[in-house]
Amino acid sequence: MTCNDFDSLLCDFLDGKLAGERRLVMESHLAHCFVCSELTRDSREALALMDRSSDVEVPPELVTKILQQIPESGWLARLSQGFFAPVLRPLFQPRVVMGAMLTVLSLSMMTRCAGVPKRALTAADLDPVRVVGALDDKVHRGWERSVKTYESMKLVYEVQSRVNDWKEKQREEDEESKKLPKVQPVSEEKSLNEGKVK
Amino acid sequence: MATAVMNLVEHLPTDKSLVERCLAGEDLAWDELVRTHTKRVYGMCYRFTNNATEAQDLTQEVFLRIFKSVKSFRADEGNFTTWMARLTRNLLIDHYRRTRQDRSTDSIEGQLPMLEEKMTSSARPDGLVAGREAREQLQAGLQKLSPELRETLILRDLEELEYREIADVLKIPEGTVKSRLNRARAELARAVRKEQLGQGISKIRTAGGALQS
Repeated sequence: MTCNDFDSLLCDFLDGKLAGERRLVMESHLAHCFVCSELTRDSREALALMDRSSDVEVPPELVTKILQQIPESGWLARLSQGFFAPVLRPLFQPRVVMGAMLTVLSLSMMTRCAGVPKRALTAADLDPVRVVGALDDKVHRGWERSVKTYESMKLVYEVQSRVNDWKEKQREEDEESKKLPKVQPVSEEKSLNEGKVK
Repeated sequence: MATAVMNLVEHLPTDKSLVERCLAGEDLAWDELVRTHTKRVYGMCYRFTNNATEAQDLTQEVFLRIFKSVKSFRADEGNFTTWMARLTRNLLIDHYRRTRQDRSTDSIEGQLPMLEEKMTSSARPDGLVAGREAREQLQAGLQKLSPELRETLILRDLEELEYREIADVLKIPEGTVKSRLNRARAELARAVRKEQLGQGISKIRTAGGALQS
């Protein structure tokens, strides 16, 4: 066996893959050749060091970084990166979505106010004549109702103030009737005093 | 060795289906692919560059390339691990050539993580300390090897690829892989021994200096 042969078999020898006669030949070469025995010793030392050495620790944030750098492959993402990107990107901003929702809300309030029914709409429901008619009707009814309320409020206040007046009168009369008997004794005393002085 | 075989048996069928699912546009498949292979890619990059920041950037670059070119990978031609290792290796060599000038002025930044590790390691159990020390010695030794020897050693002894797979990655005959491996191991052992000798001498010197004063 030459040193070249030894070199080409050394890996398998160290892996423990050589058996029988081939292994014996290797070992006998090792015993004679200083260069090859040194090579084997160094290789074993290096393998032992690598065995002892702990694994490389992957930084925990690395996977997240990798996943973040690559865009999602969903249809929305694909659409927003393609040809429509300049149009679609501003549309996905929160304030645009918020504005759109508020518009829908105010529209629904207006239609409710205009008396458009909630059921599935037909073209007839949105007929301007109908809408204006319904609005006019609403305004008239509202006006009548407020006038009625005002009138009845007026009556209620009138009755209330009348009752209050009566109550006031009653109280005044009561007080006067209480005052009268009190006044008389005072005049008697006065007359008595006058008599004493005399 | 046994773990290498286990890895292959474990990865072959899942990798194939994962790649197929990725190509079908499944988001979760890509997530899984990244999670499964980050350790290997980062390991290769870190071992090769000995710099955590560079290794992270390179790993990100590798996955970006995988994402862009996964369509060109055909499952029946070879296994995914080999394909990925080749991609990583090519990037590492490019990076090595690109930064050759910078490297002559050795920056301290890359060594900072190692210094920090040294400072915290005193509080850990003995086994871990020994493992970390060995890793530092190994890293320092690896940097002394030429890129050809370094990459061969990383692929075989640290990432545990088969000789056949390494030959496929590096596009060289299997015999060349083995002879490179012999040289790489021997040079690594010598580099580590030299380093230890240097440290021993400097320790003796500082001890001597302390005694004299």
